[in-house]
Amino acid sequence: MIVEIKLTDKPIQKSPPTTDGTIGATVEFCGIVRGEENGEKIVAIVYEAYAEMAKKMMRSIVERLGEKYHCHSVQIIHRIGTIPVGETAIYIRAQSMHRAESFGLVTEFLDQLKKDVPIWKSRIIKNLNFKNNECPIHSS
Amino acid sequence: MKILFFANAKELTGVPQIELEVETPLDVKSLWEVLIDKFPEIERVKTICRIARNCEYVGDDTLFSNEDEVAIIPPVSGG
Repeated sequence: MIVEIKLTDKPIQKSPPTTDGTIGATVEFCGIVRGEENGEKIVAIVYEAYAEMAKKMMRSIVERLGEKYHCHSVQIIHRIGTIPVGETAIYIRAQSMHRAESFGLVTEFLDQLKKDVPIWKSRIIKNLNFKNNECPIHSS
Repeated sequence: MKILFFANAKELTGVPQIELEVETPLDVKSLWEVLIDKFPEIERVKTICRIARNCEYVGDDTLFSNEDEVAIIPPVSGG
């Protein structure tokens, strides 16, 4: 299984999917910043990551899930920094012979990412005057 | 040892990381005592944070050395 994991502070650029004749399914997921957080209108979210651990964990999760869901390739790109509403925060693409493997891997990966991978929505931004309108997002 | 703080743990300490020279091995309980002594506010998130050593989550029975990179990990919210 080909695994590509990336964190970037730039808008996510997708690469063309592989089409080698063995792949029957390509499943893509885009997690997009919504214009509302906790019932309030927002314009952007700031993500931060413990980059080294996050990349290592994402790879480990994908490789473990690859034993259950036999995919040909998995690409994951998580954006960090300030992400405006409507832009993609995470992009996942899985390719496999049949759809069940790709759907399964993408779904379970997201569940584990949200539980364990050290990436945070650290601030919400409520209007375009960023510096004076940042608010922390905390679960505590 | 290097100790990294993220998200609300970073806000409560006011710094992204510190370097500590401590008597080792240091257990988890003692690590928190050292941290709370330096940054009393961090006690607010003690019960919800996990600890990672060298990029892997560790349990309460872990012993740290001065060569370790330790991270205080508040509840994550990626994706």
